[in-house]
Amino acid sequence: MHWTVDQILALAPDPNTAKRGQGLATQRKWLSLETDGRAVWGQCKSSGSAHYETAVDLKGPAFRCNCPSRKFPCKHAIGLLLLAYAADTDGFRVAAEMPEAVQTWIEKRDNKSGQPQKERTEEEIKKSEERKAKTFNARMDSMQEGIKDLENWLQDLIRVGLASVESSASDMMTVRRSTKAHNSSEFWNTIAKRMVDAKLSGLGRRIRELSLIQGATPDWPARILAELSDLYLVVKGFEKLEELPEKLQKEILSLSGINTPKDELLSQKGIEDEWMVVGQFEGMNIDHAAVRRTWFLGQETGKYALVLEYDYRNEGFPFHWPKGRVFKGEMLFYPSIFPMRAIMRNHQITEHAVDGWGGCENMEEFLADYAKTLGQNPWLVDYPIAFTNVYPQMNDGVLYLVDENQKGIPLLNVGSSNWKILALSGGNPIEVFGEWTGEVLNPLGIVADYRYVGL
Amino acid sequence: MGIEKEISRIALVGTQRTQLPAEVRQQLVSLGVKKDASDEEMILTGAALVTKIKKSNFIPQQIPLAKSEAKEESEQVCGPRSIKHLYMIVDGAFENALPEFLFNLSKHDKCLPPEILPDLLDQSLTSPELWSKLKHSIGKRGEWLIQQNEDWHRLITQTIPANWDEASNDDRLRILSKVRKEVPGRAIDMVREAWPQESVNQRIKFLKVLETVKDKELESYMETLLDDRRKEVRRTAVQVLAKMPDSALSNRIFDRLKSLMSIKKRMLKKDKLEIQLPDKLDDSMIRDGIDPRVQWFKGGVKASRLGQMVALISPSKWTSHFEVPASEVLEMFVRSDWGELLIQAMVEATNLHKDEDWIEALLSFRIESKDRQRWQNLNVSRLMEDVSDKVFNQVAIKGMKQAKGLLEENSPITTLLKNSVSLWEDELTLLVMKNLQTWLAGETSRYWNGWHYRTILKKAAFTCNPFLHDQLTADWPEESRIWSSWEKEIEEFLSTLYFRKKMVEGLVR
Repeated sequence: MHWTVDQILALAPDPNTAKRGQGLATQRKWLSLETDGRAVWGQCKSSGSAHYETAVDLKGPAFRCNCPSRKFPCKHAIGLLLLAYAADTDGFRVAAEMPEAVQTWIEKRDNKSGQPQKERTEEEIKKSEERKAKTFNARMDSMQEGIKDLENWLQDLIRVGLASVESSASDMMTVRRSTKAHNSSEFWNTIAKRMVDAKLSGLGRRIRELSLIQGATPDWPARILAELSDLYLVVKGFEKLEELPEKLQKEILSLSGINTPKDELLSQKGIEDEWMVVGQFEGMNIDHAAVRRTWFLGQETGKYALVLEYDYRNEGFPFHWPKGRVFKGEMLFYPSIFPMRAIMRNHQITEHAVDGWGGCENMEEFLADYAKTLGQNPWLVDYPIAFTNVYPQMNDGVLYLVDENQKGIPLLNVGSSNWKILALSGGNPIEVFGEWTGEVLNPLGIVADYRYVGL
Repeated sequence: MGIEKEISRIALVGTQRTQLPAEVRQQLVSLGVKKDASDEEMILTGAALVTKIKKSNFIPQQIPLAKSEAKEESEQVCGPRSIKHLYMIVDGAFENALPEFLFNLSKHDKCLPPEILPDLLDQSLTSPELWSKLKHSIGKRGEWLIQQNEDWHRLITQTIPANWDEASNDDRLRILSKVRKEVPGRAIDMVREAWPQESVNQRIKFLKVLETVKDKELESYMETLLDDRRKEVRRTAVQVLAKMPDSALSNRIFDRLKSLMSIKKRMLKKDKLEIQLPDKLDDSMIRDGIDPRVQWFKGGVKASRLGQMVALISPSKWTSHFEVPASEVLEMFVRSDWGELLIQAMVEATNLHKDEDWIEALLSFRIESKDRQRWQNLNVSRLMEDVSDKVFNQVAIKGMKQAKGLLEENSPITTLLKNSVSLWEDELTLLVMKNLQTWLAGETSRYWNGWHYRTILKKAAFTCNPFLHDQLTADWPEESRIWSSWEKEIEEFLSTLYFRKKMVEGLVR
């Protein structure tokens, strides 16, 4: 496909990288520029004596550069891609073969994205299965002990009252004579660590996140109680795990921290479609790692998929999903009652931009679907929904999304997002994608006048 | 749901301090919680059930659809490429390019994409300068949006409060400003009437409003204020009168000055301006704003009195009086015995009267002057704030042509370039870049940082013609020993230029 300047710049992690990438989109900055049709690569002059070796796999695209930048893709990769497609240059020499480093990288990428693995013998498979079962059983034993521990802790907490959480935290601080290092999160961290030790990392993370709720809003006790009650549901579910349907079992194990390994997921067949990037949210998790949630909506299947990525080493996210663009690829869903979390295989950006979706037009129908799904999966947190033909309407200072039947649901206001939605609508119906929390819609993307705008 | 609050309350206090009431237990059992469960179990399971039921039973609100639609856009919204450029500007990568973007948008009869409007309207509330540029590009959608948010109403409605007596200080200024434009004489009467009740600061603000229309009535009123008991009021009145062409006050001061000056003809040299310092200071001079004690010019109080008088007079009076251009008047002043005093006073006068010919003359004088030591303390930076594009370029080009080698950090031309708000003509840009390239090529000291050149580059990136980009990418001395210390700044400069070029091209389409 042909890439435009805007498409390439949209791949940059921030405006400054885009800006610097543009500065490098000139031949004089490069010692060599080569291509074999599949990839482009080159040596970019650096300010010192070294040169940076940059390559872009045009199938994807994917980027590789040995510069020390933590931005991904770096300015060199953006500059190289701009030179390949957007600049008026014929400076690329057509090479018969790739340099070794680029060749190895491309091969590794091909293998990762679904090339068949080396076949194993029957005995090897048997041994591996036995090893896995042994490990799994040991883990389950540990988890069951942890679950019992959690149940006691939850009941104790209700017995002493949530109000004691603050004083417990301050007592601990006094005992340890610490000033800043220990805060009220220590209270939650103690039990969270016990959960992690018991191989219940999923529950441990959820408990640690409770420290963010504590005291954050006037209704924090009710919010914490809601979270604790969800944990209690997991405890109760875990205790009767074997009696539950298989999908619910997997849901509970997944919540507890046993996720389907990526290899296992990759060995399955996914859903092929053209996937629209309808919403994206970037933030930090409790460990201060960057987290990106990207929502896709299949054009043919109408399925939602959530690609969740973490950047623990501040190296940037591995892939780029520009908002409002369409990717062709195979979506592999993690098993769940309501499968949403997924990874995409063999993805390739298309030339299309999102210009609309045939979404839900009726609030009551949407809420009925939501209630049904929540009935199947009580741990459902954020429910994706794309609306079509809805009106943003301000009512008593709150923005609602209202259907033709004049039924409205409230919208979460982040920054000036509500005013942006109103501006895009101009009083006319629009299309909105967002995450429904059960009380409010967190809008992530809008289509107005056939144009997608991410929020 | 009352039960939700009740179980939250008990969870907060703790079951060891309070018991779960029997009716709450009953309600939870009816929802599906086991009858024999402990209080703690009942609360935890009950909370889960109540939360899920609440979410499942969410009732959408009945909201009447207000049929208020924005009118159809008469101007075209800028294209996707320009929107991308705009995002890069508002995200901070090229924030200084916003005025240029808005100017070109309006020039090509296009309007802003709606999603960008809320943030820019918010910024406009505290930046009238931004609003003056933005308002031409908000389109019908923007006009509609402003109506939806009360905070933004004041951007478009200049409602003048009707009641002068009860209005706040700021509102009174707005009322006065309106009346001064419509019925000038009435405004002066209003100030006279309000005068006794107002603070000195408010009185001075009133006078600044009255000054917007310079008429005979204003002059008469200001003459009375020369006898006001407050010094601040008297000083403001003097300045207002001095700025009025042919006011009695400026004629009085000019007549006094003329009586102190004479031209001495010399055989082999140019004529010399002979100056006699004012010996006595009578009451009328003090009334006209000459402070007998102040000593702000070197040379003592007498010289200072002369300086104060010159600083009040419109510089154009001198060109008319001597019938020579400004540059020759300056030469004549420089040749006098009180050269430094007179030139400093002329800077003050030019700043007061904002006379463009004199701004050019004084800036040129400062930049071209060879006697650096004599004029090193002459500060002309305030004149640079009011310089027009034309004068800025004339002066800067002359200065650059004279510059030999490295521009010094504190030289007037450096100050002029660093502080410029004017658009640079191509000739100036090429001269500055050539100067930098030449210096870079010859310089070997890596430790010399040249911060002022970096500031000039940053300024030039947004003030020079972006279509010079291709020409300016050539001839950089990449083999220079100090190139690596400069590459980043040059790259930044060129990429900003490239961005602006593409931005302008995008808006033309």
